[in-house]
Amino acid sequence: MSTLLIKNGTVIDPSQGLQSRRDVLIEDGRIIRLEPSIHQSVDQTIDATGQFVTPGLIDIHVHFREPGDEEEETIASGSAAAVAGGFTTVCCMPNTKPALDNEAQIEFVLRESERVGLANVLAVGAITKAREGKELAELASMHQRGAIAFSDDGVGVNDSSVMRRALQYIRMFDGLIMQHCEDHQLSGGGNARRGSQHPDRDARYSCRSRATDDCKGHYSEP
Amino acid sequence: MSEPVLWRRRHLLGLEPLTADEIRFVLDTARTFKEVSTRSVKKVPALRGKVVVNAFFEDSTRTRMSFSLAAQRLSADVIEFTEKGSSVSKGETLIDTARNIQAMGVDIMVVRHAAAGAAELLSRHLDCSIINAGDGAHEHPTQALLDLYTIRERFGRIEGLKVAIVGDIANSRVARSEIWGLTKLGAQVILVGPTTLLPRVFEKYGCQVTHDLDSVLGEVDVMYMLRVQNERMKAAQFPTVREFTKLFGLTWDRFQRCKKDVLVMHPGPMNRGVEIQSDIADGEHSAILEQVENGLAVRMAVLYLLNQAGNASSGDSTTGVSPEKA
Amino acid sequence: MQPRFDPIPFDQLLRKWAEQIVGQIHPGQSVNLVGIRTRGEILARRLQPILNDLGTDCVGFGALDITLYRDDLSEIGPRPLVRPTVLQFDPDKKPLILIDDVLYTGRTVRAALNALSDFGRPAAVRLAVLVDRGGRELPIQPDAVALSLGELSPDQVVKVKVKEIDGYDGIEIERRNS
Repeated sequence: MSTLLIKNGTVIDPSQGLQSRRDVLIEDGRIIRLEPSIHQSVDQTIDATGQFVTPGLIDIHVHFREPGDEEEETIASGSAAAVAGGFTTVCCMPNTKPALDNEAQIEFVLRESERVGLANVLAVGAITKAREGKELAELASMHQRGAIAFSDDGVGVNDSSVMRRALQYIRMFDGLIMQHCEDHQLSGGGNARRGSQHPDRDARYSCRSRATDDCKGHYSEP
Repeated sequence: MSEPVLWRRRHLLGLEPLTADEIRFVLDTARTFKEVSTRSVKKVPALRGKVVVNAFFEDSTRTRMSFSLAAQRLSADVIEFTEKGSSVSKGETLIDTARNIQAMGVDIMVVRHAAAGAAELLSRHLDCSIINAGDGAHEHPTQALLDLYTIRERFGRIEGLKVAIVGDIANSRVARSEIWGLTKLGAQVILVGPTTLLPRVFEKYGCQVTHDLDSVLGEVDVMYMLRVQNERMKAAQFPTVREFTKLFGLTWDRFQRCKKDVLVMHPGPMNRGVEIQSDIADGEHSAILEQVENGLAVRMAVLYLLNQAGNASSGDSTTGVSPEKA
Repeated sequence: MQPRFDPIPFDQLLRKWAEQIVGQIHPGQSVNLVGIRTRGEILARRLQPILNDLGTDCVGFGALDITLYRDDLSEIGPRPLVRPTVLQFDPDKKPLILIDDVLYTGRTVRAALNALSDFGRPAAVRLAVLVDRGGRELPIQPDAVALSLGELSPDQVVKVKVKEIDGYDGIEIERRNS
């Protein structure tokens, strides 16, 4: 039996509406006590004064860039960064090179994550083949292999008939779709603001935050 | 003894309008015509002097051949008309074209067209008998009749059987005719396919709808596999042939979990290895070639019955036959 | 409806008929029997044991539906169910006895002969009818007749009743309703 005591941290647990100073006693990997002050001899003590103690955080939208752009990020480096920041579970977007659009790619991500052994790295499969928005990817096969959701992230599925088929198709196995909400005909070359700096309107017309950063001038109607 | 006359229709447009008795009557008549094909001379003079035209506005090989041979075995003269690419919007032209064909002295017109309702439209504008050989995704009645015939021949009945129709239901005229025929004759129909090709609306027709083929394997008497159409992929109705086979193909593994006496059917042309594994299609549970053979008998029966009904106007159809027969 | 016509018992009529049929074939020769549906078939079944009794071996048995061979098919309307023709033997090389209930215009027999020729080539075909009512429209005559009624008027209908269908045996003459 091994015991661990985390003392003096601010415990945040949304599941029980908790945000207070608490001590946490862990025995063999299980939280067994959560009290304002615990005094007990343990194998190990961590002093968390001035720090937050939270459940493992989940990021449902990460880009680990593997395969294809390993010079930017890998599943190993991304996982290390995630756990360093308190994120124990992340969902990888499929806009890799090639895209995560078939079960072999999904399996690669899951196996690599297992090999790395840090965070739970989950895979989001592409909705359409090569994220081109034209033909459905093998959604059922990816689902069976463990894809937790589907997205063409980076681009939205702009063909409404394809989007409808995708939504119909995943109903077969009660799947999930995370749409990248962007209409490319509206977003065009990346201009976000339509002549006004009013914050409400900014929000309303802002299509791509990155584009907003790039945008220095005002958009004028052609 | 007076036997009931159960067929008085001049057109066969679909199975939806037919009564169960009428369907049975066609099947019973077909049994007689199947016998004709076993003779040394495989021909009877029933339609001598009549003209049957195959008016195919959409591609077909086997249906057209089957109708041609059926008409020829009844001693009718057969003419062929094929015109591809007729558009749905050519309603007027279709009628005009058909009227021109009819003017050659046609008694029965066999029509295939890409537009649902084409055969029905012609039946309202032409004097000859019309047989619907497939109209859009609407109906293909002779296919369903030959399938009903085949099922009845194998099982001795249709009532109470469970029939799974698997694949692209939404775009299939065969499936729609099967549903009408099977439910009218008391079979239970289970439709199986991906959500994109099998909308829930089919429950309205008294069918069970499922997207999980494996869950129904053990309970069905007939596995009716529909053809996978590659062009549906382009329309984003399913991802790949591979995934379709994985989810809805009759593989050897699935076949092993079927009933011992399951009957496997396919309307053809089949994609071996896609919707059906090759050795199942060629195995003893498969009725695929019987279906083709029975198609001939059923089409002879339909041609004969429509022709007799077309004669009805010429007088004493009820008293013209004495007990001495002639 | 006229009174039932059965001056001699039906069984005796069949016996007389069978004797006539036997007279048409060589002694000891075996034959095939084919009845024209519906009542010809039943009469053929009745004849079979009697013919056997009389020393004529009936090796093959068949039932013929002549509907598809009718020469008036293009004029008459919807019909009751057409039944299969069943010939469970090879018709070639043996005499064939064609059996029907009533001989009238001869058109049914013409159709039956056409149908038979699609199945093969019997050594000979003999026509046996239970009743001949005259009124021929084709040059066809029976080889064996149990009862000749002479020339009946066209508005008269001769009906042969059999137990298997009607519940009793007999021959009836009715007047046509129209």
